[in-house]
Amino acid sequence: MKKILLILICIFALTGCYNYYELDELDVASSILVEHNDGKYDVTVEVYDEKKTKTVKASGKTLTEAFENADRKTAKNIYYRHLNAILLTEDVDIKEVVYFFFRNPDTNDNFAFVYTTETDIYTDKDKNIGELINNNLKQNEMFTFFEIMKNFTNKTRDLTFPIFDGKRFTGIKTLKGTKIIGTLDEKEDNILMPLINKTGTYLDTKCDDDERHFVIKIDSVDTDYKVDKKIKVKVKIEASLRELTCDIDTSKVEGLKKLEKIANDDFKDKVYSLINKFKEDKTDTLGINTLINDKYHNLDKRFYDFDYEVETEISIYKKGLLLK
Amino acid sequence: MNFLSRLLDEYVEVSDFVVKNIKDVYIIYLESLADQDKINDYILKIIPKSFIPKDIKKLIPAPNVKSIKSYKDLNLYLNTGFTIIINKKQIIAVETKASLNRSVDKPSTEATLFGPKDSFVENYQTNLGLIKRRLKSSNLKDTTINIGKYTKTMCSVLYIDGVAKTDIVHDIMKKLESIDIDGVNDIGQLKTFLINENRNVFPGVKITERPDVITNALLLGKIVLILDNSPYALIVPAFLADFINPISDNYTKALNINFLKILRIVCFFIAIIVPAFYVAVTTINQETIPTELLINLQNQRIDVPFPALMECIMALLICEILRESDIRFPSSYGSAISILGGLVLGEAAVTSGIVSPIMIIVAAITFISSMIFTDQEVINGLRMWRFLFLFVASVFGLYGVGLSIILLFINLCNYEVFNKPYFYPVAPFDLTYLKETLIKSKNIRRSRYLSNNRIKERV
Amino acid sequence: MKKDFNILNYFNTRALFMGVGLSRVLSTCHEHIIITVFIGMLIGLFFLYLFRLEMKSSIINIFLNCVIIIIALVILINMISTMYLTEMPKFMIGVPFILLSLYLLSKKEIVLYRIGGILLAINLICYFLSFLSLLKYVNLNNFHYTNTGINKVLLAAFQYAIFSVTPTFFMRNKDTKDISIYKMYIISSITMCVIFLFTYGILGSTLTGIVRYPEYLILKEVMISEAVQNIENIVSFMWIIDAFMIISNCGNSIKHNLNNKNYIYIIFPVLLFITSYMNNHYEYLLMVYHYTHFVLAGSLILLWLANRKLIFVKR
Repeated sequence: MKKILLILICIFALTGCYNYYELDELDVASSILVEHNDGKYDVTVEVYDEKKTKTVKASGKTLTEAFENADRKTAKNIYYRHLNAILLTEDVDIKEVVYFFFRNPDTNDNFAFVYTTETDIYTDKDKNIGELINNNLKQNEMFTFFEIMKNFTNKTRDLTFPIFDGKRFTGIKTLKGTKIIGTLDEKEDNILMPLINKTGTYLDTKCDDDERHFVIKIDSVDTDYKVDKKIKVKVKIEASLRELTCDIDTSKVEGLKKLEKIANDDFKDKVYSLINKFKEDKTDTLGINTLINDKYHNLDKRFYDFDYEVETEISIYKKGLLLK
Repeated sequence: MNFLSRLLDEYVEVSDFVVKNIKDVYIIYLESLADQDKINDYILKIIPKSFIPKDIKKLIPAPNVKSIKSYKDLNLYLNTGFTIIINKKQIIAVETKASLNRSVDKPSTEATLFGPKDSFVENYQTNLGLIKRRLKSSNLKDTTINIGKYTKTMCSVLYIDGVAKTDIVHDIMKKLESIDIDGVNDIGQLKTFLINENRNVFPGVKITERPDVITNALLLGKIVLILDNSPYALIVPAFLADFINPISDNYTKALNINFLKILRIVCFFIAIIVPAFYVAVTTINQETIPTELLINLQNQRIDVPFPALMECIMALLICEILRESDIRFPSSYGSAISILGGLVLGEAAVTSGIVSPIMIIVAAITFISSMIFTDQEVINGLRMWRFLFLFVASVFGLYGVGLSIILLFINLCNYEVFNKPYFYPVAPFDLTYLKETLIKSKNIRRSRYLSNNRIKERV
Repeated sequence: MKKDFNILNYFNTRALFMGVGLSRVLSTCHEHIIITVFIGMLIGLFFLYLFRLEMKSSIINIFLNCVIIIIALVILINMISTMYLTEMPKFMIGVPFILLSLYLLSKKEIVLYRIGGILLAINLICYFLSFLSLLKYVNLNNFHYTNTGINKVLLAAFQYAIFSVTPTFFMRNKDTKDISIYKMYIISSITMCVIFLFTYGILGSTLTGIVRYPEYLILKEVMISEAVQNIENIVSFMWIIDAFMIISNCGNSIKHNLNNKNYIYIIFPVLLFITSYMNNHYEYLLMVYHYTHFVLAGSLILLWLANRKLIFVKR
């Protein structure tokens, strides 16, 4: 009995080598650029190559064919479990790409999903674009693939993608369902972040005359939405003062209160204009439809049928090393 | 008198066999085993000058005098260093043993920083004395038996009456009495007779040369065997938890020493799992390590032509060869060997492209973690498991490593020593014995597997 | 450890949830998780109190234990084939598993209980490690209103009770007291409830119905510091341990029903062949996903019909 078991063990231990890939047989992929031209998918894969990077280009009718062709162009197998970023261009069907990467068990789940306007990104071999994107977006967890997949299927809120132009981030794209509708530039992005409870952005406000301004950085934010006849948005911000060129004396309480009032009014106006923009485009970036559904089950109205009332409360609690 | 003629017939061509005849009293001894001064003091100075009584025992002032009835006893005492005196029909044996021992020295294999530094020697009486000066009680019993047809070595079983369980003692005595071999050189040979060791690579009995370890074991309720001509003693039964920590933990502060105790348990698993984990993570499950480390390892492995499994086996085998040569080689050549080993394993293998640098680190960590254990059998056992884990990990990856860990636990839970489970404080979970071995904490009870007398200290 | 062999029931009540049970219950009850588990636990306790059968050794008991082994093997092999070893044939993944179970069953019965104690400790460590670090990813907005009526909640509670209670019946030990079985069942229900809450809270309502192994997917987010990421392969061992223990327990109770104990060396490889046949035809896998609770309920009724002598003596 024991000898039979031993023979069995020897047989399967010496014959199986599936899934065994040595490290020299792997090309670790860092980022992928997906384009859609003339009914075909064009795929560029950026791969680690000792201390630099190299790119592999391939095309195919479907995504699977394109990736297979890319695999055939290198001597080694491409390894997708350490992906840093995926970049999409304008004509790509987002739903197809997202479901392709989700169904595939050979990829990881915490890479960044980004939109680009330019396709000529991989020119410098010393620069690793995937790591650049991933390290910059790490603080903001809402742009990882996992979050995108959740929001895609659960439909709690409409997605947004950051825009990358080869060197830096310049705003975000808003989606409605699976189609790209609108663009927000950086200033509007700074207003959107506190509305979805993210910190770390700056508010640049002008003082009474046009040339002087002050900048505050948001340290903690607490946004609350209440659904009633009107939708009430209540934003509480604690901020620290970074730059001040106005004539206001902040060593006294009245000066500080004046600063806060100016910031409050300015922020309120910007929030109203942003919400109006969402209402026009009918993109539910703030996730209000689910709140309406929670309160009034099976109501016909959507978030763009309601009126909004915004209350903001900014308190500046740190001023840095200067007394004034 | 017929004994004398039998002796003279048998001991032909034995060069140190001496027979003296003084006043019709025959004095017989073996010159290499007997001490000349003692023979002079007890016998040769007294017998020529005095009147010889009927019972010659009253004349000899030696402390240990035995009367002999059978020829077998006479042979035994003669070969142990006693002097035989034959006076007409009375035969007595006087102890005049020469001291052929080395002196009590520091322990050579179980060194510690704190605690007593004496260790056993090859003399049975000295060893027994070292134990008895620590346990001054009449409850310490020892029963003796002679083993071996030609060697007739004296072996004794020690236990504390009232603490240890007597059924194990009877079991051991029965097994020792049924031994029928030519000779016994060292106590290690008795291990195969006491327990059936074919099913497990880990040892079931503990070998030690320190008297304080033995005293501690006796007080817990364990049983100790001592053999003449052997500087080691056996402790039965031994659990896996006994091999992990040294005795000097009992002499230091609990709060500080618990960190080291946990570290040693972790080292037990590191010594088995690390090579297998390395092979699994670099060949099958590469997603487990961070990206920068993966790229780093990839750059290191560019020049190496062998697959990771072969590399691992080669590095581990080279370490084993180095350790074996280190033990056997005489110490006068020591420095040359260590330089050669360092050069071979270090610079040359890496630069010639046979192994990668990370492999040397893995082999070094494995090696050093396994050297924490003092018992040679434990280190040998770890080696078997290490290679098994390596082969399974190269086929199945991390799934295989997990299954092998379960296999290790099944094997350890199954082994039983004298009907006591081997994985004892962990598998049938018992807090009292856990506090003795694996974690140090205040403990006032003995474990129920070893003793019926549970209370140890009275507060 | 006293002579309480109840510790293995912890694994019995959890093992069939992986892959099949969890997504089935969650896609039926949506956000009413706590009520579902509570009612399901009460139904399960009621079943345990009502059906205190005296098990005779017969072929039907062997057959029913084999059904559970096949379900557990199918779930486990598919999970490992999808997540760990994607290119290895499914038959080869099952072989070391079966060999390990047979090795454990060839030893004495007490070894099974000692191993259960050790693996329970490992299971709890993995469980606490992973779910304490997943706390910050739970989004309370995912528990929003969906149109689920009370019918679905009751149906989900019934499914929960079936999945968790059925293995306990097949492996009832005469020495175990009833009250300790109830205690262990309540403890394992609480741990399952936490897993349900975390899965639903992190993934949301629709995603749990789409994805194949949601409880594996949430473990991908476990991150202790920047360096220790992607350890889902190590932490998901708690599910593999559950599957191993339930297969060994079923094998142990098969051994009690056999006259010649060596027949178990024939039964297990046959089960592996059946499993690999089922793995190669997708319609059987879909059958396992959709109809498992009917199969288990039917086998419970069959068990009651076969061993009809009930005991009403309180212990």
